[in-house]
Amino acid sequence: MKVESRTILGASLFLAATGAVYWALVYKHGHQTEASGIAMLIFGFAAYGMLFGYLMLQYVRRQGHPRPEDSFDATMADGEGEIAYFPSASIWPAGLALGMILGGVGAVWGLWYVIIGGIIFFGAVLGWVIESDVPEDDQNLQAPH
Amino acid sequence: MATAALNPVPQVVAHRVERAPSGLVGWITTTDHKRIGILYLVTSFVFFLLGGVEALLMRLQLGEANNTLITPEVYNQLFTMHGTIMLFVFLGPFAFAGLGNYLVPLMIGAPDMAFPRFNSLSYWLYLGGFLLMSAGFLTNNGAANFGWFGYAPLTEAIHSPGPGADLWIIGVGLTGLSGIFTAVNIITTIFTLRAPGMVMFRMPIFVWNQMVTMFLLLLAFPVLTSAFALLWIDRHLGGHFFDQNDGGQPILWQNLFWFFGHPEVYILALPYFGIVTEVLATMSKKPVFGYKGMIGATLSIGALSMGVWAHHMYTTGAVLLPFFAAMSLLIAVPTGIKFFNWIGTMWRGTITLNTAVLFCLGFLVMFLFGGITGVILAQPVLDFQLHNTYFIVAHFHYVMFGGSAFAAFAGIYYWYPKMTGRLLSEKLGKLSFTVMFIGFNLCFFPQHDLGLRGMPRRIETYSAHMGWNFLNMLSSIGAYIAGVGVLITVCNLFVSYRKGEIAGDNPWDGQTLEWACSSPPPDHNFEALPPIRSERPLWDANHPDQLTKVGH
Amino acid sequence: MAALALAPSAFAGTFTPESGGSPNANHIAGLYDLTLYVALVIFVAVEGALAYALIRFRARKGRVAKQMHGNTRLEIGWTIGAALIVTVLAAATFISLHSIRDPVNSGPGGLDISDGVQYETTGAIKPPNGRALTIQVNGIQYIWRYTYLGNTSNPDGLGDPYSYYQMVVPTNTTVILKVVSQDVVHSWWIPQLGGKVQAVPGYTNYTWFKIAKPGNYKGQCSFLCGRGHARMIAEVTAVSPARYVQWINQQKAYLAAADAQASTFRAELSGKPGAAAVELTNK
Repeated sequence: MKVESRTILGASLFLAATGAVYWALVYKHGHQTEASGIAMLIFGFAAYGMLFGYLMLQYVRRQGHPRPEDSFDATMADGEGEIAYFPSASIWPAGLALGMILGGVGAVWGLWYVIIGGIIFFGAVLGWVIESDVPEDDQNLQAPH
Repeated sequence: MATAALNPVPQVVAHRVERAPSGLVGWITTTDHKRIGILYLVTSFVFFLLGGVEALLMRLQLGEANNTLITPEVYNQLFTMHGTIMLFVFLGPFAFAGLGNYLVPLMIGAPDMAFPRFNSLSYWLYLGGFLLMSAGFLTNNGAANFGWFGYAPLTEAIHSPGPGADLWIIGVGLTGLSGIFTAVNIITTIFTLRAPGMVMFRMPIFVWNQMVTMFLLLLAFPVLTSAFALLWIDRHLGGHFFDQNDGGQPILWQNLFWFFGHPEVYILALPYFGIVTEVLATMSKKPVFGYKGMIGATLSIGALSMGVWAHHMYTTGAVLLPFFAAMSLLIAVPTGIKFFNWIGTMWRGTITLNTAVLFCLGFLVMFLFGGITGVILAQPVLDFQLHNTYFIVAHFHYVMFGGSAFAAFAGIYYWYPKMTGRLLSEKLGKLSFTVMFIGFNLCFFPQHDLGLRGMPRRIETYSAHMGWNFLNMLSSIGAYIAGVGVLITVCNLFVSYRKGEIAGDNPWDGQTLEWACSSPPPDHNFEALPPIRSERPLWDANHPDQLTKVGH
Repeated sequence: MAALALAPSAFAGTFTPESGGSPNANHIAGLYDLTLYVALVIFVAVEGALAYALIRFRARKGRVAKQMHGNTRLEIGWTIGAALIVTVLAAATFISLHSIRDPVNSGPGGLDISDGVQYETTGAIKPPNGRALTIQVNGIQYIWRYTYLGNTSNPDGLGDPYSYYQMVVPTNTTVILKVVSQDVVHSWWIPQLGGKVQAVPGYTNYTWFKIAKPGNYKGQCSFLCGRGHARMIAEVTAVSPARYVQWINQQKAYLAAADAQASTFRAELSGKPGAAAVELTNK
């Protein structure tokens, strides 16, 4: 996690530095109305900063137990075990997308599409959630969303 | 080829999973990253052909002066949709979603993407987005007609009424959402599903570039979506964000759009840099020259691309020229490093000059040319003359078509055997490359001079007295030649699917893990993996006498 | 490469921006040439290295690739080299920025602006001596409107003479353009008279030119503004200062006559002679 989090930290700090320089220059040259660029650079700094913070938290939690994918001399045996739940087929994503697309059509052409789309959308969410319900004996498994 | 001892992979546990359904239902319900990848690749390539047809229609119109074949209304729709299709649903998704889905898990030794169903949702949203934005053609007022960067206030309801513009906003918004989902998915996959020993600095350059691309996308698309939200409020809910008559700021749109738009340009380029790196290394039978330098260059390009948005706005007079000029010129440095490293990768290697390499060479020649015109355009003073002329059109087609799209073709010729188990015909491939290369240059090189002679972009007709006739005719002929070149590859894709030479698992003596599984790879990818001790584990397994130097 | 090789000979001497009308356009062309030469040297060098690598290191029987991973010194070297070239270009562009943005003084044979009020200059850019002719360029879907400011005391140009499509200016005189738009984004561009400036609604943009010899300079709107974008053409006609004064007076006379005619018609239509004047002032 070290390389990952540092990469993001770098991006975040770069945006902070760029934002500071930009802010100073904008005010020095009297483009005071131009606030959007500063806002966006700060947004970028904060967004990447949050990601960095989360990854750092993971890293600190795992201190002393490096993941096999972060270790230079791990063997395949180190990674043995269950990774995650990978369903091989599911209709719900396509359903969910259909609901969202109908919602989009409705925004342009009228309420009826939104209602139909909404029904499909919530139906698909329900189906997806039920499908993810991992059986009792496998509760140690984490179901991704 | 002697295969060294392969170790077993982490066991993948799948619950309550029946065999994947076959046929159409199988494709609709699939959550397999390879099938979703292929869906993306095929769909975006079809969109590429559609966008190409629109381009050919425009060239037909521009072939001679005072042509009245296409009305201004239709012409404006054609170039708007050409730009939208090529940028939002072809070049980006082809690489980051298509190849990214297919290859990232394979290259890092993962069984699938981190969120398989989320992945499927991304694809269907992407397809829906395309259908919505194109549905405008079926409405009375036609599709969106204000250019792919939709400058307010031309996009306001009073100037662009009708559902075409609304459908465009919703459609592009949906593809943006799908891109964000893909980004989350790929980043999580790279961060959490690597095989043991696959540390970050052993990942193929393609995966690194993919990761940086995804981070750019995560930053850029929310800004576009918010700009669209503001525009929607203006159009339908009585807002005045971009309406100068009520205290709005049209220039705000330009700032927001290009803050998205410039990272977007690199979203369309970085994955293709990755393709070129992989192909050149494999075909030269060498490791990537300056592996960490390449990664550093990718990271710097990604970072700098977030601070250069206003170089699209030099002529507004409302931006800090020196700041943006300096940042834009700086990007030339990491891009230059990449070029030198590519040549370094070929240096003292043994280069096989097959179709994939030819397309990479085409990329190197034309992307460099586009980069050089880019350095010209990064200088505000020169941009004052060249902005929004055909010089710009030529510049970004050299970068996007001569660069990225040629690299896309290199990727097709390189990975098609992995996806289908059959090689593409080299004969047709080389013919396709030659025709495309000649056609492309004939089409776009004269456009530089057209721009210098004062021809603005996005005009559907011009007077015969401007001295633009001959060059336009040349350009139109070139466009059709390039079109023929693309069609040859399309034929090749179909013919070789049935009749191509059987490829085997590793036809190119590849170095990275995707060549370690069968062609096409089985469900959940790997039965066994070689030990990962460098950035090219498969090469180390196959050539124990030429081990890659292990560096940390 | 065929097209790349053929093109320079076919279009010899033309692969450079339009210039010759105004000093700022000439400066741009000069900087362009400098950049182009530097760029061409780099292009040829890089493609030469590429071609050499291709020919020299083709796969042949018995040849084995050298498994090298990089060369730190070389990599640092070309990074610094690239940075240096970029620095030179940046310096060149920063130096020339002022000569292109900031107007020069009018020449000796120019319009006599010394007698004050008639030709005022704008606040944003002005020549060193502060005397220039100011014309407001207004982008309208799909025509350009020019208001010759300073003929009345009205700062927004109301009542000043105006023209559409064709702008008439005196030679050897610094002309400052106030570029505005009243509907969507347009872009003002006469290639031979220097760079383009966007006409953004709600925002005033400035540019300038100084024409040495009489003649017509053509251009057109260079930012998509709707269905008539391709037909939004413009022309700048440079005439001698004496001819210019004659023209502007004639224009004033025409406009006065047209106004008078309009108020007569208005009075006839409303049937009440005094009403026309009231309506005009309300407008």
